[in-house]
Amino acid sequence: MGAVALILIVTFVVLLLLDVPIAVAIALASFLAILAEGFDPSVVLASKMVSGVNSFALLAIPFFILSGHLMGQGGLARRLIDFAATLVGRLPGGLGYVNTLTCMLFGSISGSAAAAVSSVGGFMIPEMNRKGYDREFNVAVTTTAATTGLMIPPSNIMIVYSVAAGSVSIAAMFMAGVLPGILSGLCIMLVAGVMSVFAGYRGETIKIPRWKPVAATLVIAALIGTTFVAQSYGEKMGWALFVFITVACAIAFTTFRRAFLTLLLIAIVIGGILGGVFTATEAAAIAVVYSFLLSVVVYREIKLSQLPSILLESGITTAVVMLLIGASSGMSWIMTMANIPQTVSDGLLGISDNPLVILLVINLLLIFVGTFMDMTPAVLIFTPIFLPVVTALGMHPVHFGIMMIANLCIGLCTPPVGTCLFIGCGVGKTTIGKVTPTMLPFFGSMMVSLLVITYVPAVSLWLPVQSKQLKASEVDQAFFMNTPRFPMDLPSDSR
Amino acid sequence: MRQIALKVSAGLNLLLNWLLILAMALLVLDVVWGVFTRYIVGEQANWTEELARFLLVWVAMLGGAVAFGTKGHLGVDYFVGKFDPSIRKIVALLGHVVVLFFAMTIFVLGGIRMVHDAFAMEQTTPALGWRMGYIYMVLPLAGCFMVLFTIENLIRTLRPSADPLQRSDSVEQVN
Amino acid sequence: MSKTSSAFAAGLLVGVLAATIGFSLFLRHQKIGGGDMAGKRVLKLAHGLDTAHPVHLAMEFMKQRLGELSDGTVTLDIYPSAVLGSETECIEQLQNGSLAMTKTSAGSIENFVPTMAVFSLPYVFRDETHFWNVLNGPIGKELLKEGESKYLRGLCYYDAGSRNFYTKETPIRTPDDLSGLKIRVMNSATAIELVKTLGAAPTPIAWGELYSALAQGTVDGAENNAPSFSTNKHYEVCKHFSLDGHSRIPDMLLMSTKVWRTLSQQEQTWLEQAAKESSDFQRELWRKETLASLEQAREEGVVVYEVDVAAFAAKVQPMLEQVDNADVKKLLDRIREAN
Ligand code: NA
Ligand code: NA
Repeated sequence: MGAVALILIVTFVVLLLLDVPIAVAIALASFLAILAEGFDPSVVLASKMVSGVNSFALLAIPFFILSGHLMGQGGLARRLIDFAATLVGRLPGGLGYVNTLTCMLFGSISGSAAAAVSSVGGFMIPEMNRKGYDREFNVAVTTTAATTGLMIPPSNIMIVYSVAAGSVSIAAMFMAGVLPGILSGLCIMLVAGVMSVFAGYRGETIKIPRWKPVAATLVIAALIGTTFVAQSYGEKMGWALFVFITVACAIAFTTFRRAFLTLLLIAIVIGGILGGVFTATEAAAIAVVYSFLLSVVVYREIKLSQLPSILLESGITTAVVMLLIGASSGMSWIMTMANIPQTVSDGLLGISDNPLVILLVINLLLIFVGTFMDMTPAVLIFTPIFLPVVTALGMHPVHFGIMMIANLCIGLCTPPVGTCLFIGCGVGKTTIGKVTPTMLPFFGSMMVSLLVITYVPAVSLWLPVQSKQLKASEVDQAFFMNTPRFPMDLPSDSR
Repeated sequence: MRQIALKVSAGLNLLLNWLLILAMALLVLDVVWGVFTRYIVGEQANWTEELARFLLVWVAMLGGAVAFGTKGHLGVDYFVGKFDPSIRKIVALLGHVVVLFFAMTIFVLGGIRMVHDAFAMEQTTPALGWRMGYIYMVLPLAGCFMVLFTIENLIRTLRPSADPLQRSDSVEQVN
Repeated sequence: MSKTSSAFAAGLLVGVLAATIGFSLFLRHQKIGGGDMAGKRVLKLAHGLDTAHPVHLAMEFMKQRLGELSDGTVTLDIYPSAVLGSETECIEQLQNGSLAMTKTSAGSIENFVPTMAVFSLPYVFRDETHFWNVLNGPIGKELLKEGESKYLRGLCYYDAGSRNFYTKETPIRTPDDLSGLKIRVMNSATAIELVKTLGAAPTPIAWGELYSALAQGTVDGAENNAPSFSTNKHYEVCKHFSLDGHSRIPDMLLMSTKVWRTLSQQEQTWLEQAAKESSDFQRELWRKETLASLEQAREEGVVVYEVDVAAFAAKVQPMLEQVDNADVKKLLDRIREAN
């Protein structure tokens, strides 16, 4: 094991430092390791390139990417911004909240954070700059808030995790991400609020009666509550809920008509997956059709002639991720052959028998990894290594997945390699060096959410149990379940 | 000579782009058709899932090749960016050679052997009953495009001034 | 960075890379050239089941027996839980020699060895005795060799029981009870056809998503063997289990012919004997497991129904008559004639 691990790490790091594409670095590091183990590297890797990608679950990724492109160019993001502005725009520092809320809403219809930074930030950052908000503050809010979209379903990285972890249910992951996503969004809003008060940013003047945003907020809260209850009753309730949401939105949001059709997409995608109407992949395909109809037929912001280029762009974006997945599945093959996960697992479990300590160590390692590695390869490479460790501690794979994603979200906003930070700085016309000090309080809030997510499993696991995505019996024995928790067993779940 | 080579390469690039667009469009239609048959017709055709997976493989490999042309693959230029320009050029050349090796050994060589084995073993796909060899053919095909684009990149790095068609290198990522 | 220090850093990186390549080639040379340095042969065996499964336990037993027979010169490295890939991928790895052995369902090998399709058909075997008589008899032995030309050598069969219907609300006592129900099936043409012939609506769903599909009512039921039903806690949702035994699809232990040829005659004999013993071991374990799982299901409030199997068999009879592959047809006739 030692020699193979050494070859993998050294080759990978050297090739990365030489600015070779990450997928190539992963594949060639595996190439040398497979060579050293006496196998035939070209055949093994060629076969893994195909089989790693040949998965129905992964199909959701091109679809969420495609619908993201359609929504970004089809004017859906702008409508969400208007909607969020009527809800929270009046508060002091209102645009900070509007920005965060829009990122969360956009996150709930798109699978990617980069899409949120470019779509939401592309409009919000210049707007906030114009209204006198500090440029660095705007970039910091947008980049960190965009990462909540990775926890709020749908989320491409959760699909990648499910595939890397073996048979982890995607629907369960989606459900598990809802509360952590909202939690981390609220933490970001809190920091933004405090900073706004100190900086003296004012709220917006909005020309609608005050009761309307309040009523809308109440309706949203009621909807979320109903969803939880409805989840216990399966597909029929899924449809009933869908009808209810449609009607409720139509009544409550007469002032929000422009955003209504966009918000409906959330109901279709999330309601459809959770109500068991269709799989994540099918929901993603439906999202493509819906956002196509919306942006091409209803809003008419995309011309038919633009479609080929949108398909091409989405195809390339998909392929970049898929090549990473293919290469990583080759790496995971040779790591398994050389028993590396087993050895790392034994080593980590040897440090301490206290789960708190081991999870802290894993989190620190992941934060370090996240600073210089993009999220997708990090999930692909480290899931097979850390998953055996945490399951040995009794942690549920779904909980670990959420923890890992929450952790790597921080890395998306840190230099030297941070996709969201790069895009944010690009859109906001500022530099990483200038933004970083302003980012610090936001990092703090993300760390706080990460700690809560790590050490309070119920934040991740309560919802999927309620929605029957996870078996109550399986979660009951799960790690750390005896500490502060939500009511895990409702009467309906007791066997 | 150089002009003809550039034209041929641009033509192949266009062909590849359209293949990719077609595969993406088929992918959406196929999965939507699956949902439609399940909910409207009442019974899902069992080939839609398999076809979708194979289309995804084709999109992945062909798009992967395109991304080498558009420099769309994620890399870490932080460290190299600090190098002196002349050294940076040498490192860039070396990087292209590494990518060439990757494309030749894994995609072209490994791919040809996968195709050959799958045909020799008469392996078929469960639902459609196709020969698996046809699915694997995308490997050497994409590999050849990767080689082509990388050689182009190599020439560009060697003679940056001679290149009027600088391609955009901004491709969005998924995170 | 200045030109000199850049050149130094780049040179250092390239140097390290070159050294790693050299190191890898050296290791490979040692591994292949020096082959049995310690006089020890390690065979890699991968499968997709978890470590508590009877098949995995039988493999552990085989490893132990192989060690005893060979005096520690031949050993197995077992990779469970599909860590090296799906059944189809493992078969491909056998064919190109990067994996020595794998366990696969006779259903998965169909796409490599078409005659294996016979096992997916419903009610091919009269009962369990008939099933094992055929597998241990001349037909079973022939089928183990059937994949030889595709670099797949069968070593032995493992029991995967009989597959039965289980449902949430409607008990399945007669074939007609199935009509109109949505039943989850494996994504295989034969399984889909079978459920359709019985009058239900076949719905292919990934195994990992099945629990929540059942809980949410996306499907009304599913079909599998008793241990899978119980270990996956489907009894929490489905309270009706019918012993209709519509198909018996054995698991097979396969070996890469490429690796097989590198073994000495003596090693081959050891391996065959250890495999045979593990098969017997697994059958016994499986029998106990099946009884225990049905017992556990009953304790959880599941009603287990003994049904008139002949009525089910009669209803799917057309499927057996419509087989169009001549080899499969011939095999089917021979199996029927066997005792
Ligand atoms: Na999302
Ligand atoms: Na980072």
